[in-house]
Amino acid sequence: MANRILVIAEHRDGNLKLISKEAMTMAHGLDGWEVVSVVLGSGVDAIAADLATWGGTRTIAIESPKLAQYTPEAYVAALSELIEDLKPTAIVTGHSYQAIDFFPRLAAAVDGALIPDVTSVAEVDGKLRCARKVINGKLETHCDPVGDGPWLISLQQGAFPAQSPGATADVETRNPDLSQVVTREIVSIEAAEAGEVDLTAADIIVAGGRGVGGEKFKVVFDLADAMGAAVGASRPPCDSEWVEHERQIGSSGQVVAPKLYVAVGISGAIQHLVGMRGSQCIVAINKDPNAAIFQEATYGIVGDLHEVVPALIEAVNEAKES
Amino acid sequence: MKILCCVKQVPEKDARLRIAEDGSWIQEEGLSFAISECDRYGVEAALRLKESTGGDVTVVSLGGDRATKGIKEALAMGADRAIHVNTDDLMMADALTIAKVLAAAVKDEGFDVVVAGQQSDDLGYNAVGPALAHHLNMSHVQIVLSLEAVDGGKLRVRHELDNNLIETVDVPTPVVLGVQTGINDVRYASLKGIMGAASKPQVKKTLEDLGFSAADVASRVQMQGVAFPERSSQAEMIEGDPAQAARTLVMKLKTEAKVL
Ligand SMILES: Cc1cc2nc3c(=O)[nH]c(=O)nc-3n(C[C@H](O)[C@H](O)[C@H](O)COP(=O)(O)OP(=O)(O)OC[C@H]3O[C@@H](n4cnc5c(N)ncnc54)[C@H](O)[C@@H]3O)c2cc1C
Ligand SMILES: Nc1ncnc2c1ncn2[C@@H]1O[C@H](COP(=O)(O)O)[C@@H](O)[C@H]1O
Repeated sequence: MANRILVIAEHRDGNLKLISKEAMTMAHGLDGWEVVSVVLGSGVDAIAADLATWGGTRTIAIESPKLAQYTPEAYVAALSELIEDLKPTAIVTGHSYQAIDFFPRLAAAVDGALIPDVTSVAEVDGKLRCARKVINGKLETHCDPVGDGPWLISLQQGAFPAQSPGATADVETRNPDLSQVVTREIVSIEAAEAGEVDLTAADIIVAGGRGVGGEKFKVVFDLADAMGAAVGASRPPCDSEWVEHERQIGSSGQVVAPKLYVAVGISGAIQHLVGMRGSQCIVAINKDPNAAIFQEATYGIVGDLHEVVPALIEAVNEAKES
Repeated sequence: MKILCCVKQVPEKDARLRIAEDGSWIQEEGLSFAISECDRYGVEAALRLKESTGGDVTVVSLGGDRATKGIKEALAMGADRAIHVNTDDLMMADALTIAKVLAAAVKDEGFDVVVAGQQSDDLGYNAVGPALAHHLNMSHVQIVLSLEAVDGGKLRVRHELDNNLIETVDVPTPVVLGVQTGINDVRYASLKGIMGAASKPQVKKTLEDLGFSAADVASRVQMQGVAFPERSSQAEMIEGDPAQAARTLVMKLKTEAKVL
């Protein structure tokens, strides 16, 4: 019997999430595996139909009034039942904020092997060998699930660029009885407060990270001044209130794509990268030659930013004069 | 409320990492360690909850002897007592195994609220909190931005969803919360706190004490060593002293990339 992989898809505002299309793409990359996808909600016909166009043999829509809004309780209950029925060897989903919430709990509930935030997957000796980062993204490790499954693997955003397979799955709907599941009470869902600073319109952004340091953060503003740029930041400077929260760039902040992005003292964590990867030209200044930000950069300078940035300000000013 | 707070001891942020000779993990000798970033905010959140509702705060840490340093710090900040699951065996264990062991160490205590971090700085699973909640039969919320006690034994919790959405939920206790960085101003330990920390109750438990055999805690995920990621990028590295490098960069930005 072929191995079976179950892809758990997510949606928001009636749309299938991109990260779920990426998960479908990863599943199709496995040779000879049967791909089954699932989407959960209330009134999700259209989303299931869209998901089916991302291939596999079967798309399952799990419908229940209890699933009208996401809760980990209802998700875990419905998915545990489905997994019991389908007995997939592997279960994949995008490493979204929602998955961070429900997927580990699901893994514990079905007594599986969990490998979170994975950047590549390869079949090795009948196991799925997964690459992921450790120690704040500085090192890469490969890991194998132990046992016969289920192996629960969540996939890092952007690691498997979505490619349509050009085949459509059959859709079936299931209506499990979830009336006994006690779900939390959702008080509200709101957009995070947007600040005054809109970085999306800037042509040039100079962004500072934790490496800049609190008292010295002014150098970032000085460089931005010299370049006629807007100032952005990774999360830690915002957490520590060195700059306003609204300057945060990344998955919990603004998503920008300027002509030029200068990352100063930023390591290049995925949650930051997803907010600036689309920039046309990326400059990274970091003292650590192994910093992940250099993987994304067009130009890189390895060095102490407190030497490099002042020199850069001078060079920019010189160039203006000439 | 009876509050539990998870703290993990991890390599300090800018520590120079070296890979161990056998390639299995980092070389730990000579490294300095600190409380994982989220967990520092977690300790603060736990102390604030105690200050607003009464009760006490217990810290739990799973790790080798060096975990005592983090435990002491949390006690000095104001936690009341500590549980140290003292083992070197689970340094590279998977999230579910770590959660199972933590759960066994605290399950009889009847905690109302468990504060964890949403992500550890070393293994970075984003997973131990929710898995712990499963084993303790508690509800859970991940990526927590704020929490307050409300009527009916519930907590009102704000947390992050995708697409910059913030969800507010009322969750019944007992509950495990995975807190995000930046959610409060973490206090410094006072001199009095530091002096008093040593006399606060601390229990050490080994895996044996908790009734686990080696097979019980065998990792469900086998790590095949660590390595610095390969430089796959087409990045052009600009060499030279700072002044030189800066001039070269500006020239390239003007003439090559044409973005300045
Ligand atoms: C759910 C979730 C959401 C998140 N959302 C976001 C988000 O929206 N945006 C975001 O940015 N992060 C976000 N994060 C955090 C993210 O994972 C990283 O922790 C963060 O991006 C790291 O910021 P940093 O690179 O500034 O700090 P670090 O990772 O600590 O890196 C600092 C860098 O500075 C370098 N450095 C230090 N001193 C010097 C010096 N003197 N000269 C040169 N270089 C120096 C170091 O080598 C290091 O590479 C999120 C995390 C989670 C789990
Ligand atoms: N060994 C440990 N000891 C205590 N708490 C831990 C340990 N491992 C993980 N945790 C808690 O679980 C959180 C999330 O860790 P992780 O799932 O590895 O990202 C951490 O921030 C801690 O609060």
